[in-house]
Amino acid sequence: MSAYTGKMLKVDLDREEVIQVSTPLDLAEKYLGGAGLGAYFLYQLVPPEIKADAPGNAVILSAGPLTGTIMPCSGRISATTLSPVTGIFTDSNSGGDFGPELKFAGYDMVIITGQASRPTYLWIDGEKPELRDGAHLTDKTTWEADELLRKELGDWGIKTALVGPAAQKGVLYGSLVINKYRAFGKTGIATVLAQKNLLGIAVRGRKGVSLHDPASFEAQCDKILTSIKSSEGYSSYSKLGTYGVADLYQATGRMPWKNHQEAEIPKDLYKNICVDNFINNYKVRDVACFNCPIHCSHWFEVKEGRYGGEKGEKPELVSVMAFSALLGCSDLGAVCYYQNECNRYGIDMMECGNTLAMAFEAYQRGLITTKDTDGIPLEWGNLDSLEKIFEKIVHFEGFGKVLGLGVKRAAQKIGKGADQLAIEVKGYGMSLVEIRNAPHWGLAFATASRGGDHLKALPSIVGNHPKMFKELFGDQPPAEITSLMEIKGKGKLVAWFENYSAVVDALGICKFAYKVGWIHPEDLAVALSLATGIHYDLQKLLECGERICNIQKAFNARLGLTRKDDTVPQRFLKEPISSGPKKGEHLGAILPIMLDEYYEARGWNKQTGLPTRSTLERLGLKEVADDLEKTGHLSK
Amino acid sequence: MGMKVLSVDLNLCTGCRSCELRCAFTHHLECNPSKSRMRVVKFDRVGIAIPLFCLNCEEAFCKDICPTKAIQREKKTGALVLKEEKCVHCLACTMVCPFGGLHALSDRKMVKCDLCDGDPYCVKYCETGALRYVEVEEVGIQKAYALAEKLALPYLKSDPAMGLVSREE
Repeated sequence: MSAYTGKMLKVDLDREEVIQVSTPLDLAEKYLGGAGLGAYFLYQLVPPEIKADAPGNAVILSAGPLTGTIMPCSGRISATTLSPVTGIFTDSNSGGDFGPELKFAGYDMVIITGQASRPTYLWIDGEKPELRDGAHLTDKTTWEADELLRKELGDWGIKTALVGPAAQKGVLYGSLVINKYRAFGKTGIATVLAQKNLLGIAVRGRKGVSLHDPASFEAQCDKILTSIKSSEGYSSYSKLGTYGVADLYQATGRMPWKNHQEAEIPKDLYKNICVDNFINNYKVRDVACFNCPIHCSHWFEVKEGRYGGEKGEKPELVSVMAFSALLGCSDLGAVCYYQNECNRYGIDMMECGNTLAMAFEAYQRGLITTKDTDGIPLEWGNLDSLEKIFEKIVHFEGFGKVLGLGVKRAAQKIGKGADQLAIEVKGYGMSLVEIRNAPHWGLAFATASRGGDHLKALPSIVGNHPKMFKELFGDQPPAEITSLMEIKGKGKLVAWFENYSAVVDALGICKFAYKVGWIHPEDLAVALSLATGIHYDLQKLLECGERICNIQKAFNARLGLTRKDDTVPQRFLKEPISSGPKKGEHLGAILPIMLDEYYEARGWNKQTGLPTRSTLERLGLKEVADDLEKTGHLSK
Repeated sequence: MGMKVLSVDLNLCTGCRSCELRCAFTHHLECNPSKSRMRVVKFDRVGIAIPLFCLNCEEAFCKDICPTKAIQREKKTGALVLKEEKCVHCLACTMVCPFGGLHALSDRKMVKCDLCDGDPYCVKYCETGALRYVEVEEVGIQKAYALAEKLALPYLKSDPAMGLVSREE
């Protein structure tokens, strides 16, 4: 089958062995690749009795069929594992050049199991991938390690995925950093690899990805490229990336000021964070991932102030929220600095921000004092304190040993009701969006299979497309579906978008470029058919997405998760929001209504949230249904 | 008609490598940057990417050294085009080219920029306009314009109707 390389690597660290096997192409038709095959293999390889830190846990790096092709924004790759932070399913997705390079080396996927007896790294170069001694990578920052490997392997073209010192020392939310500025950021992928003693992967490839019908595929890619570039969001995105919506979030009450105690940054401080300040004083030029016309990243330079001289890539909106709004800071230089620090030490910037914010609020409320925090006063906006406590976290020492566990576990350790301040879902910190002013995002956070996450659904439709709406959602009025104010229709909307997002993650392309409205989803089906030679229409494609969502769900159900886990933090269920269009409201009453509708759209049990046999069998997952029935996790 | 050449503005290059990918695709119908005539070298640490390509030199060492005269000047574009049927894969051209502008593939077959017969794909798919296909006299003039505009700025500001023409921001 074209578009796949047809080969994958099995890395058994117990035996220090790397073997090549065929990519199961029959499964590829059902799960597409990327996050889809990742979820399939995780379900098969990691039974519920295995813990995240056990050698039996697996990490599956999987590119999609479109990764590395001329399809716009084809730089994505997924990493799937049992998360050490949450103890449930997770996958994390990265851009950059690593995914394409893996395909060019001739491999669709790498499945890593076992535990090496000493620090090791994996070198993938054409025909002879091998495990090498990685002692010299111990305690090196990901930036130092990247340079070391480049010198050692003697090639500017190598792409690296590296475990930083934080995960090596024990921080649970270690991110696997790709060539310094990209990462499999969320839910501790690097921590699992650190526990396996695999400190990095370097890859270089000189093979190609072949296509079923190259000429027609090229024409389809050109059509999609035109569609992306003529969409209404393109001009802002191509200049600012996700940062571009910061002003909108501030204006519509979606900023998480001081751990979501307020929904906007005080106006006098926001001028330091606003989009214009970034463009005029920090941004130098645009930077892109592999084959991406949007170039949503930027090279920045901090010219003056405490962090003057710091240079690097991004920040994203979520980085800005994590290290400004969430912590009561308003120094954009600090945001840039911590963006780099999180990449250097290899930790998830969002989870770090969430955990710190919980601790800062616990300090504000007197639940902890300087006696607990190694003498560091955790005051909102105090950059001296932030520097000191950040050091403790990345070196996993003192109070950092608590905060390095992630927001939920850290709050449990603190006790005294600190868990009420932990802004998390299923054990992972939320991606900082204030959901009381956008209820359907709240639903999406509640149901996301990897915990508090906005990207599993990303339920946004861009612009007004009445015809597309009719095709996608039948006769439901567009206003009802897209309006922030309406509750009705949101369950169906989120379920649809979860399926669609799973498709995009499985194909190895970028979710930001393939937003509904930027392109028509049907165009994806056409492109995939031309690339692989297998016929897909939108319905078949979305069914693959639904299958992927169901196997993720089944993995979590098998671990005992039910409807009670599909919720959002108490703060959003009980405390009225202080500003924005929904001022005075919370999600307490409406989340259950949206959830009912969501389970109905999914064909799952409304009372328990568990998958049903009929839905699983409709998707060809009879064995999964049998498995869940045996362990008592199938809807009765 | 004047002679057109490829030129690059490093400040506009995002390092996306679409030029590499599309170059290889248009010549080989596969997605494989290692078959590209264009090579982008990325220096992530300092946020810079350098696209490298054959400069189609006027005095071309590759053409002179070729024992079978496989490299010939195309009249229409001025490109030095490699005639595959004449090439004996001796690699001598790669040894004398000062810029690494020619590349051998794994089967020793050579690849060399042919300016896509006057409509280079690398330029067509360069999103920011970092790569351009311009009259040879144009290559330096944009930089000169930018400097001139900078020097003249105090005067230009006095008349808001004055439009700037340089591509540099």
